[in-house]
Amino acid sequence: MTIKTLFKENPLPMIVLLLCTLLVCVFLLLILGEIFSKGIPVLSWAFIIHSPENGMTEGGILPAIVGTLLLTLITTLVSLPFGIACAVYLSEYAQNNITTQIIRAAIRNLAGVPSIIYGLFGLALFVEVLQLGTSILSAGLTLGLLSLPYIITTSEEAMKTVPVSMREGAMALGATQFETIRDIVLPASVPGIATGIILSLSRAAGETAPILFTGSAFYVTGLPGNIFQEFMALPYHLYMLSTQHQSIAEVRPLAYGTATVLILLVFMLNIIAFLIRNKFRNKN
Amino acid sequence: MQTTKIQTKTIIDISDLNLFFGEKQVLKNIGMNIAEKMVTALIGPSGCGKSTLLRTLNRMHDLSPDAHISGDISIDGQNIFHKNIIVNNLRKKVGMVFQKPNPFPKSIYDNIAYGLQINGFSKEKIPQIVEESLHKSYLFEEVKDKLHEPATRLSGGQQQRLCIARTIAVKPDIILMDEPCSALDPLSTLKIEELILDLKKDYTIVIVTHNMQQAVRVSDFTAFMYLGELVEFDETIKIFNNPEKQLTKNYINGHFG
Ligand SMILES: Nc1ncnc2c1ncn2[C@@H]1O[C@H](COP(=O)(O)OP(=O)(O)O)[C@@H](O)[C@H]1O
Ligand SMILES: [Mg+2]
Repeated sequence: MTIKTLFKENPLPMIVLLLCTLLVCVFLLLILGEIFSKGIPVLSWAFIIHSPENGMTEGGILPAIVGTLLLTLITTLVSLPFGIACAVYLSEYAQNNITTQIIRAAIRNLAGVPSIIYGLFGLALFVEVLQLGTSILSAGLTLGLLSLPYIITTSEEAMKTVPVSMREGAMALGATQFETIRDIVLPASVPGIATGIILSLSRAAGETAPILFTGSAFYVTGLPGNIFQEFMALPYHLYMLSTQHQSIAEVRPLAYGTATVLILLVFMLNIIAFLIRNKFRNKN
Repeated sequence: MQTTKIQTKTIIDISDLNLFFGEKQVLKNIGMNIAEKMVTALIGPSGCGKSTLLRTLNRMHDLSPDAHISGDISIDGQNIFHKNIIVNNLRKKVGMVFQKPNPFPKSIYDNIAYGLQINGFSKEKIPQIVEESLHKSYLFEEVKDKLHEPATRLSGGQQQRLCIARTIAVKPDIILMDEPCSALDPLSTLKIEELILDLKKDYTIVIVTHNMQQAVRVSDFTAFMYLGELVEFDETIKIFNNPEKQLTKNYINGHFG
């Protein structure tokens, strides 16, 4: 049945649904339009490659960009191996019993825990108990925890879509369970896993609450030299410029510029996810 | 082996085999000797336990936690349920071709090379064995120019022959086939049947089929199963021309199933 015939039969539902969809798009476009129209004029090489100057009222946001990139790198290093290991266990090894179901339910619920709670938890565990101080490392670990539930869930789902017949094919040739996972299941679920990881990282990169208490700073001179020091990050910088600065009106353009850079970074991550998915789809 | 005229040597010896899925008994007291380098067909109405019996032979049920098995199966005189048996080695020796072709999402070449790699065949020999296996499964001419293309681009019949190729590549003694032609067109079916007749020179083949003409065409022995029991097992000629049991007669004459 084509859309046209569907439309002729009963136009009302389609019109209502279309309007809802358009409404959502309108809001999205409004937000993006507002930010880009005021942010893009501010963008320049200088804005990207210079540090803030004159009490943030001039200069660029390089330390915040570098801080966010470093932070995301640490988040990746933490959440990727643990996330995939956990997903492999749940999808391939765990028996389908009460314990497993409780673990699974716990992970799904963790995905719904507000990010400020992760921030406070990170403060308590990494900053205080483990004595890592307010640092890139503490913040990265906190964001890693925040990303884990989402990565585990999407990776597990990706692995579950690999057909049983594929696993049986490998086992029937004499592959051990581990070989089957390593050579058949994981490669076949790369697109799903990569998409989940990148989307959760792009979400983590934009978080403010978890890094608020664990390491982000209003201003740090110079670029981050090691992972044990405080750092600037784009979302926190944006928050500060928009709400905490003494001359808010003056720094408003810089705030828009920062928002634009943050959104572009996240877009880039999403495009990478899209490209990975496409590449693997075409291969098969 | 019963009153057979064909001289044979037993390779698989099944006795008192019972299998339960949870509470449900799917195989009941199966006993049969499968002859080396012969084709043995398993026939019977669907749901009677043919696939289940076949999958006990390479211990595929290890993967289902609710399957419980009692009884003995010996292959080459070795009890396959013995605790010293390494199941991966057993599966290398007892290959399996599935009902639906299930090539890996890899290239044609890698589909065959994979089994060789995990079974420790030496690197230098792999290209040659891949080619041999493609020849043996009558696939080489069709794919020789696209060995590195994804196997999933092949037709269903070619995919199934590729699955046979990857199975024989690791040099099993026995090949289990579970309705290998049921997803294929008549022409591809014919090719696979020819292939089976050719393979039996070197391999013992146990094939499940719902197609009785196929059983007649390819098999030396036929086992008729009904509701989890082995009703009759004899030379194929005997089963189809002069079965002992009324039930067998009814089934092969198409009166049920
Ligand atoms: N993993 C399983 N769990 C529970 N029951 C099963 C399982 N596999 C097969 N069965 C049941 O065992 C019976 C025999 O199945 P099967 O061996 O596939 O039959 P056939 O291959 O002869 O058509 C069927 O009733 C089927 O529902
Ligand atoms: Mg079956």
